[in-house]
Amino acid sequence: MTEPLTVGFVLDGLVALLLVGLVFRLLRTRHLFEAIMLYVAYGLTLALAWVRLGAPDIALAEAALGAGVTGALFLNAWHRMAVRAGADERLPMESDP
Amino acid sequence: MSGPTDPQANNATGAASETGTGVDHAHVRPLLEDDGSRDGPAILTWMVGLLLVPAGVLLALGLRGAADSRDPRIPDLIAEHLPETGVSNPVTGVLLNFRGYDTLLEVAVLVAAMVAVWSLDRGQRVFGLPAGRARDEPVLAAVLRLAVPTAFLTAVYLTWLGSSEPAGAFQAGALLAGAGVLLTVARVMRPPTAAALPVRIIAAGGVAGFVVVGIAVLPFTGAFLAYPEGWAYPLILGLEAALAVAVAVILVELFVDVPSIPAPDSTLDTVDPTGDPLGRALAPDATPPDPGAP
Repeated sequence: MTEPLTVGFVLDGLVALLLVGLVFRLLRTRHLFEAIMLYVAYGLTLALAWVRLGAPDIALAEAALGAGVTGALFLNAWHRMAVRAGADERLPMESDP
Repeated sequence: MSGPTDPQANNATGAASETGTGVDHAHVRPLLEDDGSRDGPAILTWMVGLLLVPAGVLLALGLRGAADSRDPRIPDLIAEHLPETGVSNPVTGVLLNFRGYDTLLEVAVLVAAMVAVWSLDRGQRVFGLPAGRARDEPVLAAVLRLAVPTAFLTAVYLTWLGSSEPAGAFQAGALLAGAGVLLTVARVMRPPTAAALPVRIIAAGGVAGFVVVGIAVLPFTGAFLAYPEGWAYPLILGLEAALAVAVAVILVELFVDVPSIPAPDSTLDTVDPTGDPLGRALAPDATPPDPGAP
């Protein structure tokens, strides 16, 4: 490879390594909350990768749908489970007035 | 937006099941935090990992082959006929003109997803902060004031921008949905359920708009979704706007009707403490718990 070592090349390499690292942590973690956080971080890093690949529209969709909406759905379900398990007493689900 | 459905009706029973019944906490905790007690032998994990390496190599080789076998004429054909699509962004040109069918079916899938989530509905839709709490949270209030109008404005801009630059209805709809979810979680907005008539109309509006336009152009061009000359741009822009609103409403509805919401039917707690509605189908004979038991 005679590819010159530019800033963009290094940045792309870091993003690619970060993606693989995040997925590895995501698959290995034993904590559901940590898994959700890693999933959101993975989605945002993937959005960055799409920007670097010249697809800002896909990056926007990935950030908004993959990281944002899906992450919020997971968090919502997690909160529900945590309340049921009695693990999270700080945020009780309140009944509607 | 307001719907004919009254979610208040179920609140009393939902609250009762939340506080008064003996949910088996031990069944939920392993899902939140795995202590490793149910792991298989470590050698198995490593073997699966090793098997995945050749699978990854095969996938990479396959993707390489797929890139080579792509018809080289396609990019040139798109570039050549782009002026006829009415838009100058090739992605929008392909998605909403050349391959309008694909987009039509994509939106249909979204509607189907909303109906699926809707069918899992447990009858009570309470989540996020307690009502009025957003007013007492200065950071949340400031974020809402800044983020929500910005998201709305950006969504309108993205819809319009889709005809010339990489953007479009799905991105705009996702942004709108993000703003809607923020408002809902903060309890500033209380969206109606998917059963509400306005929600049904707007959610179906994306697909319906596509089908109506597709059929309406038939007498002029003789083909489904083949826009007449000169009409492509306004038709695409109108469809994109309807799609953006439909996508936003459908995505917010995924939150309103999530089955993670407390079960109004306390018998479900004995079947599956995680609240899986399938539990009812899988174990229909489960005996209802004694309401007074701890």
